[in-house]
Amino acid sequence: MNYEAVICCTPVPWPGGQSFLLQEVGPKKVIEHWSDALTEASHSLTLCMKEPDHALLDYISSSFPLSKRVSIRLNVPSEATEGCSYFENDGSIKIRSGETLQPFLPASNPAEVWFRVVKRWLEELETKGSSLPEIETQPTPGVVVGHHCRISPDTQLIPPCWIGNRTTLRSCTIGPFAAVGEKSIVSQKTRITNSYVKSGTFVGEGLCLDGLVVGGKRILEHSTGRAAQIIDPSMLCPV
Amino acid sequence: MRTVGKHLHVTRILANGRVSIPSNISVELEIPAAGDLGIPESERGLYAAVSAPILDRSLRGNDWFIRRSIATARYKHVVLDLILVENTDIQGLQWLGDLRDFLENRETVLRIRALPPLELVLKFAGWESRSFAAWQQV
Repeated sequence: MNYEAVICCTPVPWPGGQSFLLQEVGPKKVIEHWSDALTEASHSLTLCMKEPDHALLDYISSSFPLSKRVSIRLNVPSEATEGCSYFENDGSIKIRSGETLQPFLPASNPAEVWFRVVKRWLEELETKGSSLPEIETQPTPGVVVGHHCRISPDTQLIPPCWIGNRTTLRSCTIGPFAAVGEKSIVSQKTRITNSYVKSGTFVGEGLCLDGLVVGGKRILEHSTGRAAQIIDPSMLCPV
Repeated sequence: MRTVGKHLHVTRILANGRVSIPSNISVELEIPAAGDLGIPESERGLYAAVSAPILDRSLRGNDWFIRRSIATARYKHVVLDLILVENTDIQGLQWLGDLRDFLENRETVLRIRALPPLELVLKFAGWESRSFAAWQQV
């Protein structure tokens, strides 16, 4: 069965400035996460864009594997559709048979919905383990570590948490509900809970990330959508 | 209101009112009344505002007036108004941390008001932040 989703390209103040569907959820993007959920149930997804999101179009056309059945149309159909797929407020992916299409995101703060998607994924990691066991290891249940990471022995990893490939962690505390993206560096005495460090980010010493998304030079409080710029590269900067 | 250094302005907390920064009279700040902050009549409060857009090393050494006032005039409450500050670097955070430690050692209550982006940066640096907007006690 094919499910359709209405995509609007409202800009969101993400660190990095990309659209919602191109945000990271561990090693994948939100769009991959979404299509995987549908592919698992033998469904396909059609994204109906109100206006073209070029970054998303490029991503899907250039780097999306053929096994993921996602197609794009550059208008919203007026005729009846087989079904509709969208994100709920709690971060779950809904599929619904029927005619009416609805926006893929609830009207509330998109950062909050995105972090709930991340939280659900971290909970799944804890219960089901890594979906990439060839390249990720699981030292304790709910702690998933990518390859070529450098982690000092006194680093505390509290489940559920995910550490991306080629990440360096120095005497810090990660988790619960924390993810550190690929090629990131977290300095000593920093605590990361209920937060997401985007790929390629340096996080300085003695900081406290609780309820934040950090990436580039920006921090964002996912529960409120409030954002701020960090001007000191010894606190936060791209690697 | 007295200006100490270039970007620090201090005055005693009495009744609430609006004051201008001596170096820029178009900028008005609202000083809360002692009663609104829950300061008992028997205790004294000091209001300090920072007018620099960035909290940085330039503030180091400018807080001698606050420290001296605490030591000599025995202020039990300090209100630090950062409403004009847009951001901070690590040295600004260190200055703020040192001031907090000094006041803690003197058993003086510090309250801070900051704009939401600065509040978020302070939270990122490990400051407890329940509500800075309502003269958060730290």
